[in-house]
Amino acid sequence: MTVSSIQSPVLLASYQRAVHEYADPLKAFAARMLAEDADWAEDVAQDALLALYRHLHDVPESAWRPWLYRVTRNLCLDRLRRRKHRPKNFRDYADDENRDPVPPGTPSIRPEVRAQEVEMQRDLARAIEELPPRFREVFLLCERQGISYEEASSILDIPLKTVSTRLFRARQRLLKAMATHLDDQ
Amino acid sequence: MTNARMPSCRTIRSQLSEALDGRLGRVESREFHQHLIACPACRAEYDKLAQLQQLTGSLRDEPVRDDFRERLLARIEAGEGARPEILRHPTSFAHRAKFFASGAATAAALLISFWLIVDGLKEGESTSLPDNNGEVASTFSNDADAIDALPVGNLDAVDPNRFGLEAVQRSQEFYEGLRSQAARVASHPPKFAMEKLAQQSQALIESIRFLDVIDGTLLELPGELRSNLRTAASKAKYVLATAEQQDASRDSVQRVVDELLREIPSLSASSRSIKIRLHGNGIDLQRIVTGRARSTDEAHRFMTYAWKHLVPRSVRDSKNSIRVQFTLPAVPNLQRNGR
Repeated sequence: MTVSSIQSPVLLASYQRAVHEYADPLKAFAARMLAEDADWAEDVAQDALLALYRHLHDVPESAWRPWLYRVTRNLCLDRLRRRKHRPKNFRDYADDENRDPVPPGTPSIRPEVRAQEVEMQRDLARAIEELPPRFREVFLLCERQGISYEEASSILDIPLKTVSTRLFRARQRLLKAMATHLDDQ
Repeated sequence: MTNARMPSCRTIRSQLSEALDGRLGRVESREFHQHLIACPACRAEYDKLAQLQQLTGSLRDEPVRDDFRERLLARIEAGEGARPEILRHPTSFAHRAKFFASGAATAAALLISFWLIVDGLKEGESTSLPDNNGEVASTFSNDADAIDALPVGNLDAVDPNRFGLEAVQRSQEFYEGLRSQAARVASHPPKFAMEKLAQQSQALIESIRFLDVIDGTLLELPGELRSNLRTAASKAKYVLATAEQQDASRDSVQRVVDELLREIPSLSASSRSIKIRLHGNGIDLQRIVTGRARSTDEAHRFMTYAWKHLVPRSVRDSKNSIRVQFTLPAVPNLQRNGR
């Protein structure tokens, strides 16, 4: 492959759009996959986009999105595997405390309702982090990233039925973890 | 609950997740919802899953830092290759890593140019992209300063036939997206479903409005397609109006979904069916849009839409370089009194 082949303005324009479009979602996906190592999420998203740049001519444009998610997921799994060898119990709750899980623009509500909502969101975020990676990745892709079962099946290289089953199980676990909150509704 | 004609609770529980995602077939979905009406226990379970989905949707993610693209660019410029571990896992997409050590800066320079252009569109900065001969194409010369302020460039490299076709196809994609969304969201919590449908409707309305603006000047759409586009737009407006009601209920979602899934007009078109009136050495899209937009804000949105979504597609097969120069000060107040 020559450099001139990568100089197509149209391809570069498409790549630029891809960076614009996918940087945030890839970081978000990586952050929740990595949980305790969420600080690495931005680097992971950047590594994935850099890899795409190096493979612009290998990967058809229509496959960029699944390709990027796949690379991001692989990088996250690598990091999680390495973390296994580290002692646990280093969860930094201060980070969670500082993170405001309510999206900007949310209408102002009574402080006690807001506090309850924040607590629910924090517990849910933690419950997602505690899902086994094989359930977590399906849940994040389909539920948070809005990816279809079919595309998730292609990203994760698992049968469609397995996507459905894992998503079902992930939801069941989260329901269990959030039972107190959801019963309160 | 047990009923010979209804699926058992066990079956229903196993379908909850797929039902939530709108993945049940028509018959299964009907049986599922009939069961929910008759079975409070399963309904409660389903409602909890729907609450969980809503709560998941409200979680906030941190966006990338402002200097994300600059740092990425610096790595590209430095010729940094993909880290080996990225491709280590066997994947059907993964290809053997190939690095481009030589000449990376040249490719990066082009990339910088594109980023500056898009930044300019967003932030009102000025920049230019040299063509292959190192020249900078001239901007449009217009009388009114206000018109000059719109994000527009010389469209020499754009194939007008393709541009028109892409504009129609874009609307078609939004319409299909809206309909497939409708098929999925009926079982979602009403507020969530309405938000999703409203977003997609807004995109469709905007794309059809853009076609309406250039129809009769830049393009001439076939009569049937024009009428079908208007039908699609009116459906989308109905969805938006319903979605904006405060009390989104399951009934209102269902009404919207029924409307969207009813017999639909075709929005497909071939390049032969669309006549191009203005073509050749640059398309005065700016003048047309400014003349027909309802406000500066709308004109600005249309130009941005065209540059972001249509121009890159419409030069796809062109061997020419894109010769553009943007001048993007803040958009002045160009309020018009409707059309």
